[in-house]
Amino acid sequence: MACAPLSHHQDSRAVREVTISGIGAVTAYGVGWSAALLGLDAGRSAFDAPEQGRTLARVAAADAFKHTFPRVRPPRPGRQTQMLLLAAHEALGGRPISPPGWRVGAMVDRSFDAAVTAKMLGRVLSGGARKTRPLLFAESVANAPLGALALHLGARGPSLLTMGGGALYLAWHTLRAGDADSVLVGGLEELEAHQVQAFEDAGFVSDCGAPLPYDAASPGATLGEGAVALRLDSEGTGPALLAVGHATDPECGLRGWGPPSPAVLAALLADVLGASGVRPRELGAWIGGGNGTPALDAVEPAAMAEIGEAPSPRSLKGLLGETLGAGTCASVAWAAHRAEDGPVLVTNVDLHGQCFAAVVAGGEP
Amino acid sequence: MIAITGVGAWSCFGRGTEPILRALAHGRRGLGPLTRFDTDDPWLRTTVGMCAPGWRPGTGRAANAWSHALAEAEAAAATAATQAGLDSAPYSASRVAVLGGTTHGSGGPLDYLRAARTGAPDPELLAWTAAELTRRVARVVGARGPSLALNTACSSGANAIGQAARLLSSGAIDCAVAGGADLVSLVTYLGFNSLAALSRTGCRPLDIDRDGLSLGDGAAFLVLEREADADRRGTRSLGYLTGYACAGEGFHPTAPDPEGRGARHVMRAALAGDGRPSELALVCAHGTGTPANDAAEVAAIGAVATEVDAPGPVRVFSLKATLGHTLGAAGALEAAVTLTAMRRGLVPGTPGLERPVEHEDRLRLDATPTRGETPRLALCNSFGFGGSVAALCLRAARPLQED
Repeated sequence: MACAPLSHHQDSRAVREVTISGIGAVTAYGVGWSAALLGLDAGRSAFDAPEQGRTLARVAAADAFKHTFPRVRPPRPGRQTQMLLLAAHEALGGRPISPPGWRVGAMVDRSFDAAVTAKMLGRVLSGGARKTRPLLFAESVANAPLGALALHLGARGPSLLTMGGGALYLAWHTLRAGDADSVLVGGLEELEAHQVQAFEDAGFVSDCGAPLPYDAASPGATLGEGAVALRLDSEGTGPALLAVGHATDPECGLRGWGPPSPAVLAALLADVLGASGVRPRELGAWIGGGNGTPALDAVEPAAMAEIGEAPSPRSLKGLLGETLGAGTCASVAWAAHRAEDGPVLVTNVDLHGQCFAAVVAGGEP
Repeated sequence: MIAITGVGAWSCFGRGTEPILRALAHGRRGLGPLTRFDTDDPWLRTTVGMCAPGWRPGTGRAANAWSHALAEAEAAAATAATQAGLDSAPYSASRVAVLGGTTHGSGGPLDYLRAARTGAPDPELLAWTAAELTRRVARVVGARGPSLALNTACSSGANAIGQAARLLSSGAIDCAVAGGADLVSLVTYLGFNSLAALSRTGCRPLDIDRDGLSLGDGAAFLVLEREADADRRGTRSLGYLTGYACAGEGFHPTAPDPEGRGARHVMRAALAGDGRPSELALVCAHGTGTPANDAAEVAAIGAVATEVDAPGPVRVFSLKATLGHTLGAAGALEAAVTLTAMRRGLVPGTPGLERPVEHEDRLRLDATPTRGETPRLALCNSFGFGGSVAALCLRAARPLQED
């Protein structure tokens, strides 16, 4: 297989449509996208009962992994990799790619790779250098779950791991350019105690109840974890990803910890909606990234106000929690199930000043 | 074609590509004692690495190692942007992308975790993830387009450059500043040590008696534009990126496929993108110096050189003998150095190479550099944990006279 040459090919005949043909998930609702759909449709919160004053949305999937991947013998991959493999397996309809192929890519989003590294460093700092475990080091590499998609599911094509919705953005362009026929796109996050503590210390998370996205009275975010996978196809059937865009506001914070300005997101929204041929008022729904943090949640409505009138944004994070690297894939998956009623806008902004936007339209995956 | 119009770098030789080229020309290596952390334990395989000068731990909250690497990445990107004349380029900020690769070098969370063991850590350290690398570079070069932090282990830098080229080809952006940054950290040092992958006395890539890799600090950023746009605004192209491919070879979480299937696949695909693959004359090998990588890679290079009917000699070298393994920066740093060396008519050698691994006749593996040659087409290989494999195909611009 040869990739398309690195020449400029904006010729519309060379550009392919990208469709969402499979969804899988492991969330705090349980294993399977249907479990998430049931919870979300019912408006039921996925949060655990508070423990020591802390509310989280945690995942339990170890038994499901052993059942679904019986040939993977100990030492089994880490918990984060297990979650992603389960979600991706479901997105493939329960059938690994056979034979494994260079034309099926894998791209994954995650925001932190701290969980396994914390385990590894914890052993070293308390017991000395000799407590380093090679298996923990191998699993601590951020793209270990990505590699598992090739190893266990046969997705051996273009293989990338990034942040902030970048996996969807790159997968969309990869398919449009004809560099792959399908791409498994995953979003992933595993909560780690120090990371949770840091978010609490930074005043990011709620200490008094559930988050209220897009509500100025929201007490803050609630952290969640999980994995969501989408199978994207070139010229397949299912809801179409009409356009995907990515932008950044590098001035978002003095030390990299702040929301982007609405103007940067507004410019991105104008581009993405324009490329989709959809005006804001024609949107059937808008799934935003609001997580109940007032400063972050203010950005999306303010940006939309600059370009037109649209439905009010809704966010899954009031029920699923702020699942960080998994959040954007979860929103796009949800949009795919709502796209029959009109095009759905998906947006996200994060505290690194990154902005993501996509438009989903069409029928059921 | 995609033109490369600016290059900036940082390595164990300090800032810039010039000190690296001087070292290459004289066969010097950046090897020195590792002083960043305690190495006084016989279980630790080595006390040497290829760290950059100018940083020592313990000088305040903001002066952690990753902070230093971020500053050097900013400097490298600024150098590349200046060389490309980006401040006067007619590109809208929203059409300029930044793509940056790194691995465990996203050291803010690591520093946070370490501090959390001993006292009250600064929560802001948690914000210093890989995305902070691209945000800072975007701020330096004035970009507001896609900002993508890539982590595909040791192929991260190559994928940042390759994906930038793909986005340029598709018309999604008009310009990209792409590269990578990483540094020798406690996690990578102990981790590679636990895998028995560190060389005891300094790496000897491509040699039969190689015993592992040497870690190094590094950063490099390149400015990429479509050739027609660069020509239109009168900017000199330093060279061209004519092909790129990446894949997940799916063999093992950390070990490369001994058959080199993934390596062969991406080299073939990258050369196919160029369109004149038989002109292949130079390969900057991933060449870590580990027993598992080098033999498989050189066999794969030989197979591909034969397939494309490169007349040879195809010169194969590893910059890791000179710069160390700079992990997430390696693909970008090695592309920057290979491109610059091609312009100077310098074919790098692999210092320390005495008995080359078995290889095809048309390949040539030397310890010493050669001057005055003008190879036109080069491959740069980058492979990583997780089975990540990538290759960049570089075509030379008009060579410069020797300084």
